[in-house]
Amino acid sequence: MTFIVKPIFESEFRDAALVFAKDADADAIAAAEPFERVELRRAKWSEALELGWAACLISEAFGGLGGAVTDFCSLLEGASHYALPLPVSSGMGLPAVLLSTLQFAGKESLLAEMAAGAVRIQPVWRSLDPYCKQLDEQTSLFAQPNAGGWQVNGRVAGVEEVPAATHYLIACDGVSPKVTSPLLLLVPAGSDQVEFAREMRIDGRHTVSLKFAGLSVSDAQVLAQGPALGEALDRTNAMGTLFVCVEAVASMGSVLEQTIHYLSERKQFGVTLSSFQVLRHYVADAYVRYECFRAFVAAQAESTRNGTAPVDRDISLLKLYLSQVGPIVAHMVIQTHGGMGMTEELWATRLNKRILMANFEFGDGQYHRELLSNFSRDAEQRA
Amino acid sequence: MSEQIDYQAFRNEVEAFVQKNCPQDIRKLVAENRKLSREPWSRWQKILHQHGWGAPNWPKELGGTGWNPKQQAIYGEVLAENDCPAQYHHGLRHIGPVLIEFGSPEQKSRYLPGILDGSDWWCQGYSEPNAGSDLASLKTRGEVRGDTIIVNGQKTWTSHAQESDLMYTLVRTSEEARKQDGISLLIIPIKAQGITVRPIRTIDGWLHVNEVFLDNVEVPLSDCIGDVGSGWKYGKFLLARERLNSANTAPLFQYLSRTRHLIAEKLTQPKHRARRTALELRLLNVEAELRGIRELGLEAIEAVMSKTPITTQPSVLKLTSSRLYQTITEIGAEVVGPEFAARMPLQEGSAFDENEQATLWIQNYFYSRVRTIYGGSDEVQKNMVARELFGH
Repeated sequence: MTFIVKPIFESEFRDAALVFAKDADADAIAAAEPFERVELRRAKWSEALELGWAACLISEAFGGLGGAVTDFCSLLEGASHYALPLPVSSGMGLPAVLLSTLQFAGKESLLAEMAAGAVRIQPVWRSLDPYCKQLDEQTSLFAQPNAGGWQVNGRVAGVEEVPAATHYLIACDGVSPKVTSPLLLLVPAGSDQVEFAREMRIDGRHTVSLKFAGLSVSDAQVLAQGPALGEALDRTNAMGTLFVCVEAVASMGSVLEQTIHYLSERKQFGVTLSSFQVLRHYVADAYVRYECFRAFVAAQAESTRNGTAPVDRDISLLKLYLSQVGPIVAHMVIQTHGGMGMTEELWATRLNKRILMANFEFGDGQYHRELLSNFSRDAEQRA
Repeated sequence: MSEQIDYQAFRNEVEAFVQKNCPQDIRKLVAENRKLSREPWSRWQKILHQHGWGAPNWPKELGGTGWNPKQQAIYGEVLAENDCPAQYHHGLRHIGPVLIEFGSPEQKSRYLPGILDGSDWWCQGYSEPNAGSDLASLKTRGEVRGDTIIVNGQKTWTSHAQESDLMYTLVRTSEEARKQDGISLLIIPIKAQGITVRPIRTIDGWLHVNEVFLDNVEVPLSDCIGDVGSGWKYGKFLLARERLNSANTAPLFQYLSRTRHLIAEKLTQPKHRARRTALELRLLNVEAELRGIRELGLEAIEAVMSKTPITTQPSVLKLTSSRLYQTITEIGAEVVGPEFAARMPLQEGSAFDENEQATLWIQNYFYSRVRTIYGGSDEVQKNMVARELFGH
């Protein structure tokens, strides 16, 4: 009996997501043409909404399921076992995390409609793209006051696309003559003042790049602004980092399981590949890294079970760790599969690409090393 | 019952005791990453014994604390966090539990008290020149003659033999079809007639392992533990008790912290900026991994507490902690190496300026290489992990 990955977060969410993602994977293989895949994504997204995934992190008081962070992690774990190419975290989890934290008029009805799948949020926020934020002033997104509201300009590139989104949830800099502070806007999707281009990530998920050319927003469409919003965005960012680590570790467990199975079946020189010690040691090496990362992810998720905000330094260490472990696992999988490891259609390849993409989301290893260095310097100065 | 234990209060109690009672000179030795010898270790054992903490892993009725695995883990962590030495392992954690489980009443009453109060010092005679990882191939002979066993052969890599009183050792008392059979576990005084201890200087410059030659050594049959020919079983029992040793990551966190201080202390000039940054970033990588292994260790202890089977965790912990220890010591050596690699003392005690402190970092760097060799080498551990993953 070869290795079968054990659940990190045991719940019905995981089991349901596992079945859902497996079916979606089979359908995706059958859908050969790109347009078929676009349609398939929309259909699967609707199905996921009908299953109540968007309601997971929304309080029961607002019509949600009132799940804990670990419940949502279990959902991500199941989905990531088959590298489900849908924005479950960014389109369902993070808007719920952000909006649940804030106080604004109409919060109850908005969250209820999100939970029911009637409002589909396309996040448009740069705070979740910290590396680009640092790199390029040109990528900035800002809003300036005008008569009766705000005018939004700038662009955001490479945001994970939410299929058939009804609204943009825009986090940008509100630039007024006296002060610049974060601003959160909710506007209907599909305005002429927003230029829209579709692209794709290395893991096959669809992204959008949006250019705002003087989009007018009324004061009524401003959900929040000021320091409290900044803190909520930071917290959402940290939670997003945790979620991406959950997705990555679930895909790692799955790809290890798949690789061990492959090596146990595939024969060369008249014997199974699993009889070669060098290959067994490659796998053992990767597994050892995976196990330690898994334990770290599980502990971090557990520490936020009751809605406690993750500790920034811990989250950065976790993401830094992913940047070390992810490539080790993915490269081992390619090497041990030989030529097959280079093919696009291999299931392991889809999982591998998900792992490698996760490495770049929410700041890569270099970015988090810098953050950690800053934490250390701050601590030294305080001392 | 474990449910009723206030673990935080327990941690506080241990912390208060060790901070008050562990002698400063001993804590200084640990903080400076020095190799410990019998005297400070034995002194610390006596202090703990007098307080009733001589044997954290033994049952109460035999002088132990009766602590559960989680309490033992907390105790180990607190000791490390306060630069107190972990207790000497050969008696307490290796042969002690074997004697408790399989020893005769006479053996228990003769040997356990000396382990508890630190008056007897033990070493382990397992490895031989042609039986390291493949221990069952050992060739040292034990010939049973009446109520005596005559032992001839050679042991090697015997840590602390130069300062020990007693050696527990595996010898072959009969040739059987299965090489694990026919092995017996004996207790031999290191000063017994026919024993020669020859120190081996290792690459770190220290003398802590030895060759032990046994030439017609007479061992009373009463000093054979359990049944003659069943020693392999007791050896395996001993190893099984040691499986979660690496779950205590506190010593590694301490070493990491000391290395950070070393960097801050030594690399202060503008010319050091690039080196300092590069080494600090490497330490961050280590810290991230240490957090992972710490959580895995805690999971494993919880598994033991709930009697959930342990599978790959001990190997994963051993492999990772060994590699991280080596990496930390490599970083330490890179801090002091450019200046002090050329200034190692010619002999112990011939320190000049500050070279003694600095060269300890280099010695520990060399010493750390053994971590992936002893206690089941990396290759053995990977074989064990692979066997679990592939099912064969």
